[in-house]
Amino acid sequence: MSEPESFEVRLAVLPVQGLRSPSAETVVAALSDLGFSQVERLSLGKLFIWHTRAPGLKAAEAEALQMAERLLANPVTEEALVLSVTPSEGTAASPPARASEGEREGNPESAPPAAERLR
Amino acid sequence: MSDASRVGAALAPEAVVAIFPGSNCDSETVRALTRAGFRAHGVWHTDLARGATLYVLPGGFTYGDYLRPGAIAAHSPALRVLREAVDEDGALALGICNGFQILTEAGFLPGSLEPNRPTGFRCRPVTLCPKRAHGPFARALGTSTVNWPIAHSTGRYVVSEAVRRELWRGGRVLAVYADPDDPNGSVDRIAAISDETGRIAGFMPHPERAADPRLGARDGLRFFERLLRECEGPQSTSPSEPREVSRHVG
Repeated sequence: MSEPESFEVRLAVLPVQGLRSPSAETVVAALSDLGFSQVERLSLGKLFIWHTRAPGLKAAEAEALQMAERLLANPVTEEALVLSVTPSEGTAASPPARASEGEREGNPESAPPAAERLR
Repeated sequence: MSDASRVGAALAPEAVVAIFPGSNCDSETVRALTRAGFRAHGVWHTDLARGATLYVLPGGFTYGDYLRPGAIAAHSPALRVLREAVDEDGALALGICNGFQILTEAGFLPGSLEPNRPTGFRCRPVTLCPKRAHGPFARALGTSTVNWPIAHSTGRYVVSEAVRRELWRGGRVLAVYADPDDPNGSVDRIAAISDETGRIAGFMPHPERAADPRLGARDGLRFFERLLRECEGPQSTSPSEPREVSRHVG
């Protein structure tokens, strides 16, 4: 078995097509009020970004889908999309380094991963 | 405590209210169950054990509603205990509001509770119409309309078309919101459902908030009193025939 590598995974969870979303409808109405009246079919969901160690890219992606199935997405109303799985420079155990990099760059995604904030 | 009250307490069915981080209706639920005659108490969710007659997952905002309402609580070991208590001991399980959300997230009940349409937190009494349904919760609900408060922003019941039909066919829709009184846009105005055995039920409205005569609200108390009789009677593991009720709505 190959040595685990560190990956950054980005996963989006969105409402399934056809499900009415009051929050999305409200955002569309607000955008229209601001003059963006051309916006339609807006989908509003969640973005999860985390670091993990896995034997390879495919394994990291498979793990992400399992996580979505078991917790991150509600299979009745949501679908999960793995947006990207990329080798991360740091290790999974060092999200603060990622955060400080983001802060230096003014990256709005520089907050700690969601799981860390929940503790 | 007198001997008489000790004997009475020992005979009363035990109702356990599971308390999760963020539960906030546990105290009034225990109070309402006690008033109805149950030997009721709250238990921290990780300490939940088998042996009770009725388990209640109360309202609140477990784990801050992070991720989705009920999603994280649904993975508590308490849900495993609940499953075993219902399947193997014949216990009953009731989820109220956030408890209903936990039960759907855990897969004990079908469908999902989604944000209200129109968007917003609704906190007011609603009129509930019992439907042709089976099981102890249906019998406890009775056949007349009741007024219970709601307090939620994520109570719009959604379910696939196939399961929606199955719910109606199987007598599992316990109650719907009265016609002009739909507070959240639920499919078919569904407010409460049960599982296929009738032993697990989820209600978005709060019976425990209509259980104090001092507030002029007794409909919820009557529900718990009838539920007590269900718990005292012989426990049936097979669903009884759906009963006829008024069909002026839904």
